[in-house]
Amino acid sequence: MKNVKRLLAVLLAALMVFSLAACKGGDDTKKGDTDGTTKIVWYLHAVNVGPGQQDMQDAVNAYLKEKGLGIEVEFHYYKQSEFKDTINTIFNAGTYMDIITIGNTGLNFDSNVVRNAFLDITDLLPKNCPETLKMLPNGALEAYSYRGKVYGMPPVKDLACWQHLMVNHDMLKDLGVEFPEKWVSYWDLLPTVYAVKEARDKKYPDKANEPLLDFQDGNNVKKWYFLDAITGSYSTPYICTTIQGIPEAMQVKGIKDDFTVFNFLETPEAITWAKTIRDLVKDGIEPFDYESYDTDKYLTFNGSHLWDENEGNLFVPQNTYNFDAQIHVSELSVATRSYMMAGGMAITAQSKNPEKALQLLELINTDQYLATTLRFGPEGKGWNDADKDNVVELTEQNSDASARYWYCWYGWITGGLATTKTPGGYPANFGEMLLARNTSAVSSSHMGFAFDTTNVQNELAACNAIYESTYKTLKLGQEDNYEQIIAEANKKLYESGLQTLIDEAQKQLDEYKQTAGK
Amino acid sequence: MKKKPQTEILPKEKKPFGKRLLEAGGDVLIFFVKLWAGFVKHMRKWWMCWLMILPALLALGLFRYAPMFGLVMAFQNLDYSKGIFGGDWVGFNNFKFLFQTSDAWIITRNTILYNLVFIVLGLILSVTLALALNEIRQKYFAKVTQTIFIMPHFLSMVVVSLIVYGFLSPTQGVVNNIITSNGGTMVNWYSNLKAWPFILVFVRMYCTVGFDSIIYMAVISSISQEYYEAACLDGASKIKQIFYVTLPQMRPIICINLIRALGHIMHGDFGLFYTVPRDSGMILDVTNVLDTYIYRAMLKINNPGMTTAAGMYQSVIGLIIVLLANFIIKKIDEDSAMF
Repeated sequence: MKNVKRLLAVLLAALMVFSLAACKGGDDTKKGDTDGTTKIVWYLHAVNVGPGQQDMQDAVNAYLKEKGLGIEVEFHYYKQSEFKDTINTIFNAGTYMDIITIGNTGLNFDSNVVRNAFLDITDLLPKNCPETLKMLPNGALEAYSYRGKVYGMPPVKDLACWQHLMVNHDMLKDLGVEFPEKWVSYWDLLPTVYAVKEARDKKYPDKANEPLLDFQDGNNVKKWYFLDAITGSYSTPYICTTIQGIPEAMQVKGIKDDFTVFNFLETPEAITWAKTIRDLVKDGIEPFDYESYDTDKYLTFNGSHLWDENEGNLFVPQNTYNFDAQIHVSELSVATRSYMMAGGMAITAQSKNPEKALQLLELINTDQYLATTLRFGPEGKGWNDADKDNVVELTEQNSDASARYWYCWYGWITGGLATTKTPGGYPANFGEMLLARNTSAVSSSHMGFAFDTTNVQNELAACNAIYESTYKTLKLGQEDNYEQIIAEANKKLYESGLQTLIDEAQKQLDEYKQTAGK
Repeated sequence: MKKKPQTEILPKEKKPFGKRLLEAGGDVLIFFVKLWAGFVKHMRKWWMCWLMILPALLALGLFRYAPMFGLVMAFQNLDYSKGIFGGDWVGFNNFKFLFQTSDAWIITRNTILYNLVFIVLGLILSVTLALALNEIRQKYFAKVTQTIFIMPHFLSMVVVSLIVYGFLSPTQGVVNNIITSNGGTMVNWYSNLKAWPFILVFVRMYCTVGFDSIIYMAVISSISQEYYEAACLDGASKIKQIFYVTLPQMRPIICINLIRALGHIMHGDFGLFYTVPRDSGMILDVTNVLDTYIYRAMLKINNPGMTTAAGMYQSVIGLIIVLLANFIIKKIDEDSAMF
């Protein structure tokens, strides 16, 4: 019995020791040179990660082999929210990767560039990505520059902000309200919204308590004022500048100089914005308790709302909605640094094969078959294009919207959006429309300005913490005392060093203006 | 006067350096041989115990001690091209952001006060619960009750936050439904500053008291029945037995738990303070603790140096408090001290 106990104890201990092996950190993928091919490791995210991921990767690699570039790719797809939560840890832990998606993630491009985390690709780009560069609008690479060197590149996709609404024309017809033919920002739409609300409540009094809009994203400052935040993200717009070339009516009053750094929360426009959001909630147009919002009852797609809002789309097929949905795109396309970086990619400093990585990106942006495979999986398994009209027919296993095999439309993260075949319902010239809109966008005057926050990290950290909570409160529109909230936030921000932050940003912006000759 | 004969001090025989070195080396060698022999003897007897704790030692070394080298990042500007140890030295600059905010006082106050309440109230409630459960004589009922109390400990804070939201949601919540159905006015709990200190303490107790009581129940069950029998003979009531037998027997474990809890006094439970109040900005004055501040501050900055500095600050303060608490307890009752 004693020996049995001993044996069990030894086995248990051995099991525990071996279990530690599971704690082995990260991926040990290194340079994957096998039979002369170079493995490129790419960390990226997608809206949906379907079961056909491995098939898609195999198909991509088979195609790359056929092309004879000597490249093999290993994708590490994450769901977008998961990627935002984990990429900082993955990256800081030193996990090997050649390409990293930096747009729409928790990664701060500027601070990582300062810390030499990304490779300087200024000289590598023209040699390895000549066709991609031709497709990018002016200023695209400026957005990824730091002290004259380029550290990243955008994918070929929509690179400016053009807001669009899928408007419920069934509702409009029923209530006899006209939608404005042209609109620039949400200010232009307020009279229509209130007219619809009044007409609906009159005709259907039982629906008076139902919200008409579900646009919490639409409450973002940028939907009302086109400001360009210089801290690298629109989520911190308390220090921002306006954008050159935008109609004056859209600019914050009193700020005419594009190179003046200011605190948005200190402007009268901040109060007007907060009041408008609060009024929309108070007047029952937006839900008061957004988080308890019964999406089954008031589902956007079922026609309970006046519109479904987003940005970037030029076309959305009718069959997405259960009502007569017509797209209304804002008259104004705005290209800011934030937008230009929305899907950005960088080659990591640890990459052993930067040129091959760039060649892969070039191929994705220029090769239709590759771009299409990335979106819909292997030909035959995920899609077909029997009539060669550049519009794919999805296979049976890829058609069920609730359980797609591999469907990354529109897959802006990988690029190649102007090259890919499109899904049914989209026009075959979608890519051309997109590139044309990119070119016509109004560009930020300081696209190439990157704020080096090294000297103001403490102030930025302290201000961010205050701003995070204030902005969310105002955006929900639940409180009547928005003026007091803004005043208190401003007081705390200045006590926490906002002025130092503004002064430093202004100093750097002035230097940039001088150096860039603007 | 007769002079004492002077004793002659003979010079010591000076050994040659080589000989002395050899002797010293021999001593050292003997020391290590003895040490090795002792080790071998010890291991022969206890090898199985060492094997059993080996995984724990490895884990402790890997996850608790090895990362300590990374603390150097707290004093450097991290540069990926130079590696963890190659960044430029910045002194205490990375620590400044902890005190830069105008809310520094509120954050520190909240962190310490909440933890003190959690420690004191948690101790009282978990000991009381352990005593109460110990008195239940029906075995089945005792097990069921114990399980009910322990279960919340295994719930993720995200789940707990949803349960709380189910009660406190402004439009759909149980509490507001009761209030409005009785003619009252809806309360937006997520902007009600006064309610949250109580809500947070309640939620924390709900999650921890049951589980914490296990250890006290184990101590109670190990107390010799002879003490209680003797107390009974002396005519002690149940309450007196608790105060004069049970609690004194529990004192060492209570002290150890107290010291352990004090070590975390600068740590705010992130799930409790961030997820449960749903990151509501309106109640930040009573929900903002050090961990939530660090999260909000670092969300956009992603500075490993500053986050390391924050962690180090919390740990160093915790260590000082542990040493202090242990010192005080040692002065009062040496047997109850941790070390």
